[in-house]
Amino acid sequence: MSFLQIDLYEIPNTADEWGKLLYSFPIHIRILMGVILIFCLIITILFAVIIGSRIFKTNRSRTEKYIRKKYQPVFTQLLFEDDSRLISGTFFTLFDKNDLKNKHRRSVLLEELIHLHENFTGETAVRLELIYRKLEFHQDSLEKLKSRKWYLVAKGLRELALMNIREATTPILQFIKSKNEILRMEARIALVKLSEKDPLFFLEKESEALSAWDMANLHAMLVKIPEGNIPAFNTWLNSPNKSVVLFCISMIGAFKQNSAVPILIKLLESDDDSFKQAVIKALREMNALQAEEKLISMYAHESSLVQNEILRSLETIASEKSIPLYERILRQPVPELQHALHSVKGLVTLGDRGKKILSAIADLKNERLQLIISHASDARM
Amino acid sequence: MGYFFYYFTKFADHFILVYSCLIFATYVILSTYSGLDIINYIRKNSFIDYRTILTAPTAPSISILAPAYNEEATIVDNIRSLLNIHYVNFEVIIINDGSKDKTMQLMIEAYDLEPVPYAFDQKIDCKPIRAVYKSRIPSLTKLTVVDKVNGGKADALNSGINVSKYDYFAAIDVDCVLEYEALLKMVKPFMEQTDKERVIAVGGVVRIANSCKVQDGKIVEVNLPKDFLPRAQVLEYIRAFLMGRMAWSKLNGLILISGAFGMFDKTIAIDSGGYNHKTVGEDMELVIRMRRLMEEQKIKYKVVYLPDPLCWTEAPASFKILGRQRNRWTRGTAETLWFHKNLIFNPRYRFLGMVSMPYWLIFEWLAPIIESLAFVYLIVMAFLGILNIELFITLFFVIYTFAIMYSTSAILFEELSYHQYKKKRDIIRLLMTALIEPVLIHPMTVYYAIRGNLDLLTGVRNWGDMQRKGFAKKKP
Repeated sequence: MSFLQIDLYEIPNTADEWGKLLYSFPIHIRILMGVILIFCLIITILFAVIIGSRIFKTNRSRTEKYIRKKYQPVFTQLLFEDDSRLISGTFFTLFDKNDLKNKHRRSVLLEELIHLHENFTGETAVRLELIYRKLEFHQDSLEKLKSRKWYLVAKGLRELALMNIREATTPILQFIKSKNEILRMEARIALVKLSEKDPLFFLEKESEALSAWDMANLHAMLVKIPEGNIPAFNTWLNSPNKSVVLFCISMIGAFKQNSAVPILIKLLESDDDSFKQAVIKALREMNALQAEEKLISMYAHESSLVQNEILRSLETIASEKSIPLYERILRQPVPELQHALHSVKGLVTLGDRGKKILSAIADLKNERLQLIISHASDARM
Repeated sequence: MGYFFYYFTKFADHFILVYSCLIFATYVILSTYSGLDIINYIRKNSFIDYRTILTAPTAPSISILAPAYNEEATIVDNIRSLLNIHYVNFEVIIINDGSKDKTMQLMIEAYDLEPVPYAFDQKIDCKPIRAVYKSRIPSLTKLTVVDKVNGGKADALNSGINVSKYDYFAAIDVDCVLEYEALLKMVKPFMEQTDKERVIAVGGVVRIANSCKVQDGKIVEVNLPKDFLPRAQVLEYIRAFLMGRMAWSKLNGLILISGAFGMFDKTIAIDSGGYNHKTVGEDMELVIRMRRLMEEQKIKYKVVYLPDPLCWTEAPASFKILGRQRNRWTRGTAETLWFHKNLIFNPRYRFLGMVSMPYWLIFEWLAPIIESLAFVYLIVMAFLGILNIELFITLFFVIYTFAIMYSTSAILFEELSYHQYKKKRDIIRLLMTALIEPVLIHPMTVYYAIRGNLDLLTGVRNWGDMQRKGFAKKKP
């Protein structure tokens, strides 16, 4: 009985015999056998890595659970009970020295503090910041800024910002021009949080385009800082960076900086549709009645998208001055759907007078128009 | 004749060897590239707070489009799940594609629906809409149900696009279960785009939900499928999604976003003509057409792929259903490649024309055909008594060990990245599956692919009934 030239009743015993048998195969078969061997070796290594990773993760998770369980009562005591321990010399007796020295256990404690801080505000958050400082975690975070690994730097930036480490402003500044977009973003967010005056000073020299995601992050941080520290966004409306201008227009609307309305109205003269759309949206958010006439007068000369924004804003402003515009739109032979829908909604918001006009238009026996009126009059749509 | 036969066998031997080596090489390159990119993605997103999007004035509004055909077993629960998605500005549009069962009736009863006058522009061609329904319940204003004449999934999605209000739409299989933050994660790439490069579509990883515990439309416990067939598909999905598409996305050459869950820029989808009714591979076809449009208009763009497990779906649990699914996938691929044949090796379409499309032609569509022909060739050679048995056996083991190595790498990817299967025995079961899958499941998938090509040649156009057990039934 044989298989691949191997007599199964005479399986080689020694290495020499195996070698002779192997060399009895043609070269291409030997190469393929070598490939099989390499694949088997890789499979074994991969398997070992999988098992090793699982053991490592299990142990790590066990340690994390242990540390969290161990320090839960400590944090409860420090945060919600008597705060005298926070300032007294007995503070450190609450923590095991070995846990503070061990790199992993220390990082678990830090993560726990960060996690708690993300979920608390006010006095509790201040206490967490004090614990963070007393345990010298800010040194750990500052050390991360020196790392070559960008994700560690980013983590450090986030921790310093979250824990209000104002002296970190200078080292953070070096990342504001980083080529790594994440670091750039994290540095911006950190500076907004930590700068007491002029939190958006970096916008002055910002040359990179801000994405909607960047803007969302900056906005999320701006809503967390004291109202008095929010800058006047019209400062950067002349920036050569288009995205900075769009961001500022959006923030004027979000923070309802009504003093900027006249400047925004001037910006409506821009040739750029994206500026116009952003401005009209901001005016809508501020319910800027003084912009109404300008919006009505410019309507006819604008692109469909800008016209749509104008109608949405007029709908919010809800003034009778818009009625002739609405009527003009609805009495067109084939009005653009979105414009017609907003016009009807605008008329509905005007109450009885608007409804009278709508019933007059509905009598025009235009089936599509009647459908549009019924659609837009339904508050669910 | 003897010479011809001699040279033919020489050519066939070398062709099979070279083709196999090329497939091995592309798999290794793509998986390495994917691995590096996944590590980067996980690091990049590890400290991101997606809740930022919920309060952002710049966050886009999303229309979720879910076509439903004969889904009476699960439709009510599925809608509830979709309405509970963690996002701010969104609408859920369920498109009843002429179901023959009680799907429509059940929706009307469960959600107190009534027909409403609904004005919309028919920007893309679709079958007539019978009625649009809204709920009388004030808290359900986000829900819109479209009842239309049956026209297939592509047609239903086109109806949804026509009716939708917002600038982006997510196409989803109604029976899929979405992760809590799925929409937030999908929206982020759109928010990250700048004037330099437009994001036209975003896809995410689809995971297999068989044996997972689903409660109130959410996955509450991830389990490895108990049955072998879905378990083998777990490996297959990890290989395809985590080890393949991630690399294609990084190379900006991705042409397939799973029909189970994908998000698209509506303007570009409409400008491209919407979903194609003439293919059962409408998901792939739309992405190619959108990319084609961007290439022709010379606009910089990208199709983004996220490695996060975002969407869970029930995989076929029987060979019969699996056969139908794979048959359809093959027909979809072939049809799409045929529709866009002038892109293949066309330098005008840069990476899309020179790499992505040829890859799909040579290594995706042709692979099962070449594999089958090689098998037939071996049988003929054996029959003629000239098969080099030593070479055959060693080659078989090379391929077999490579398949196991590739699957083991997939398990490692999963372990190091998202670590979904946490039970100790799961790893052993997955490894055992990796040992059996190449000799049991793979030949079947090759067979189904061949059947798909034959069906395409004989004019079969149907979708193929995909019976599912449904998660709701599995509740204790």
